[in-house]
Amino acid sequence: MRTTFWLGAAILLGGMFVGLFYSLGQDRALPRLPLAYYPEIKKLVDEHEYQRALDQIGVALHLDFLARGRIIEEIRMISFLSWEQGRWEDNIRASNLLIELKAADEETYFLLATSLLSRGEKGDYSRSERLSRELLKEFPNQPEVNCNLGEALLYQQRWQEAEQYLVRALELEPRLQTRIQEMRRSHE
Amino acid sequence: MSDRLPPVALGSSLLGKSFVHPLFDYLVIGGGLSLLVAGLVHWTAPQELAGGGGQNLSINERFLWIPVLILLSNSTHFASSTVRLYSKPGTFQALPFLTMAFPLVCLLVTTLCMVYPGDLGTHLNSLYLTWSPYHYAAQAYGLAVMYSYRSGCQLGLNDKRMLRWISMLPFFFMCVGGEGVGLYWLLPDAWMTHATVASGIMFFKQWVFPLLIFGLPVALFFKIWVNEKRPMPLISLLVLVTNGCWFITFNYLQAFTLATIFHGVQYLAIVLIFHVRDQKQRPENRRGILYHVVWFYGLSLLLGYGLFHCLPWAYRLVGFGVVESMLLVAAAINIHHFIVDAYIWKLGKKDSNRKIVDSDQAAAFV
Repeated sequence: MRTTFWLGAAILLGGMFVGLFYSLGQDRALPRLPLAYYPEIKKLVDEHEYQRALDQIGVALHLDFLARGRIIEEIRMISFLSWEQGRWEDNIRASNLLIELKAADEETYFLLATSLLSRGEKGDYSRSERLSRELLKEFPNQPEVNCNLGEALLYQQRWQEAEQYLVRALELEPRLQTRIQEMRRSHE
Repeated sequence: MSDRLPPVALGSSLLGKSFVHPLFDYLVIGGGLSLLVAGLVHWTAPQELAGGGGQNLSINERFLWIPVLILLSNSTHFASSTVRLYSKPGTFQALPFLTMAFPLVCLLVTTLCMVYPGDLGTHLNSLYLTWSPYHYAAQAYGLAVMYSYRSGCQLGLNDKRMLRWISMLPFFFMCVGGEGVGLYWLLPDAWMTHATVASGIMFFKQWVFPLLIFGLPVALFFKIWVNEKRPMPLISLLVLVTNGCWFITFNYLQAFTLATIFHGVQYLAIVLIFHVRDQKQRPENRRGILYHVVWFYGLSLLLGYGLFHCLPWAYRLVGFGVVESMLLVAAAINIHHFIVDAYIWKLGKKDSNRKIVDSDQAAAFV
């Protein structure tokens, strides 16, 4: 019994000291007072380490159900930032997580549809098509959504259908002309 | 008529016998201070905070000083039970497993949970979150009985049973609190999300529990007064109402933050009193009260900082993520504290706690 006591005490005290010095080495500061892990995840997001941030968020979703609202906001942030920086893989993962959590909104679907088109792996175009069609039910006059749907159909070589949505997108937003022309050229 | 207490005796019976000073006992141990702060937070905070609308708006965001308060109160109180365990006379002989083997067991379980955070870790966390309100309720019950006992109000077995059930009401309330906790942790999701069950729970949470949590302690107070011909001290009533207030007034996350801070304050006050009394009773003691208070609190503060803030970094060093390192270490410390507490506060006949509760030397402490 005494051995277990000394072993436990040594590991615990040793762990605390090692932790203290590791923190000093990493952050050049004492372990900080806020108990929450959010600042660390935020740091990963600020450093554009989206995959690592999402890994940790995945664990947090299991363990910290009290802070689910806050975690979802963080995923939304990653979803938007990664889309903005053209990191499609990260955006797709973040968006899928939001859908899984039933926390996806129209913006999530739109960003995901765009990212899928840009990634272009097997099944991406048909999924992007499905998402855009869903969005179109709610926003029939949204030019970007029409354009995404047209592009998804174009990639699936459904020319006539694609043309219909691309023309509609141009009617709604003439400034999309350059994008649509490039799209057409790449498929000719 | 002869059974009725004279006005002076009635006044002192109602006030009860304090450990330090009535004002200190009522504010710190009884939780009066927490009611004042809870009132301030509730009435001065923005609507979404007070109403509990947005889960993402935690108290921590609004009040940057909260983490410091959590360290000084909550983290320190968790560590203080460990300091008390090892500084209380005779615990190594009386509790060999708890004092010598249990810390290592806790470390192993924590590490195992960290390896499987999604499976084991989730349950460790749910256990801790479910156990917390039980622990607070048990502490409220213990304090209510202790003050009654000290103040000469002998509670019958039935009264004690009723008091126990009544003090547990906030725990039952929290059991239907939400995802991952209490019934939501133990029962299948499909049952808890069923429309009838969900609306039933909502009705109980909004109407039945608040009524019971605040009504029954008052009813029991008067029942005991009538039956025993003398009242429980008001501080016994106050600790029950306070514990209920923490959980009823605020949403789940905020309740946990406030309850942990004030439970910590309450706990630290009482554990310091017991520690100082123990040390003062030692024949070889030559130190004053202040020395024992500073020694005990200082050591608890250091240990609290080491456990909550430094130990997670050691887990990070060996490759675990920040989330599991922080959350699971915190969960394990909580559970260790709950278990240790179940043993160190026993009032056995030969236990030093009994002598302290029985002692009439409250004034000497002041």
